[in-house]
Amino acid sequence: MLIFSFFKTLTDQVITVELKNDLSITGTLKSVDQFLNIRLDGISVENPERHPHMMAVKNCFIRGSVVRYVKMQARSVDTNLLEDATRRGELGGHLSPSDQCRGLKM
Amino acid sequence: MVWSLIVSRNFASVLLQQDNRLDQPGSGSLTYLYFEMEEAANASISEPLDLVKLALGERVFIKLRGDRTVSGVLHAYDAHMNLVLSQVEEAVHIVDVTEDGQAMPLRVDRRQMEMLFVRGDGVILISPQQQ
Amino acid sequence: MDALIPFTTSGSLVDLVDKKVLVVLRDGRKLIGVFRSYDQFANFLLESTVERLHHQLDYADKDIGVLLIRGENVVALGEIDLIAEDQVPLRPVPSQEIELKIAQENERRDRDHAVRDRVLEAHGFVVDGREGDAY
Repeated sequence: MLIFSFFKTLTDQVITVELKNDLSITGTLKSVDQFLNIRLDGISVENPERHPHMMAVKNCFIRGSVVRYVKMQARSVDTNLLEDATRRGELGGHLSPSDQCRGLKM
Repeated sequence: MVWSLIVSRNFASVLLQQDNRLDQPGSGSLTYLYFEMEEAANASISEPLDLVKLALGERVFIKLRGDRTVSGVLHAYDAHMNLVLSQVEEAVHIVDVTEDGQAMPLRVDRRQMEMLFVRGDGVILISPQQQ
Repeated sequence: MDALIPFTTSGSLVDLVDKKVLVVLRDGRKLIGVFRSYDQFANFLLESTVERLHHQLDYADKDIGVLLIRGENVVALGEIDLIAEDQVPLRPVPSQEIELKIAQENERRDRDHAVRDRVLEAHGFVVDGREGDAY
C-alpha cells in the first residue's frame, strides 16, 4: 500500500515508465491502482522509429506487471517522509494520519 | 552498545555493517542512531527484509533481471521488493553480436537517474554497498 | 461491492470503452480494435480486431474479429488518436512481404540471443529467454 500511496502523490506529474520490453514512455500520470497499473496522458515514446505502433497513441494504460522502472524528478519526492513511512510500516506499510496530512493520502 | 547486542543476537552480519559505520567519523547522526536503537528494540530483527530496513537512507547495490545492476540511495521498499531509490546509477551489460555471429566483448552502458522506482519482480539481490 | 472495483480503480479505463485502441501483448503482438469491455484483471474484449505486423515504417493488417484477451498477456492499451493516425509516416504493404522480413529478423535475433546468452551467463547474469519471457 505504501508504494501505491507513493504513486498517488505523483498524480499529474510527468514520469517516464520503462517497460520490461525496453519501451520507454513519458507522459503525465493520470491514475494508478493497487496493482500499480498506470494511466499516462500526452505520451511520447523514446526511439519512436523502433516502436512505430505507438506513433498514433496519445494516451495509454500500462499493466503494472510489465513495468521495469518508473523515473521521476527528485523534487517531486519527499524522501524523509518515505523513509519514515517505510521504517514504521508493517511490511507493505500503512501510513499514519500525520502522513496523510503531509500529502501521502491513502 | 545495547543496540549492537540486540542486533547481534538476531543478525550477525548486520552488526558488522553497523559497527563499521560507527567507526567512521561523521557517519550518521546521534538522533538517527537513537532512532535505529529504538527500532531494533521494538521490532525484532528476524526476517530477511529487516536488512533492507537498516539500509534505508543508505546506498545499496541491486542486481536485476535483464543483465542490469543498479546503485542508489534507498528511500522506500515493500514486501514485493518494490524499491524507491535516488542518485541512481544503472549499468546495463550488453554483448553485441556481429553479422557473422561472433560475440563482441562485454560492454557496459551506464545511465544516471535522479529518482527511480524499481519494480520488485525484477530484483535478484539487494546488498548494502561498501563505500 | 467487488463488482465496483474495476470502476473505482484499474486506472479507470471506462473512458476508453468504444474507442479505437491498440493492445500490445507480452509476445510482442500488436492488436488494433474497438475496445468494448474490461475487468479488474485487465482482461479486454475487442471487436473488429486486426493484428498489425510492423517492419520499420511498413505495416500489414490481418483480420481477426472479436477477441477476448486474458489480462496477464497484456503489456499496454493505448487509445489511437484518429487525427494522428492519418499523419503518421507508416506505409501499408502486403502481409506476405512483411511476414518474410519479420521471419528473417527473428532468425537473426534467435541466433544472436544464443551467442549473447552464453557470454552473459559466463559473467554471472541470469539468462532470460526471448521476447516475452523477460516478463
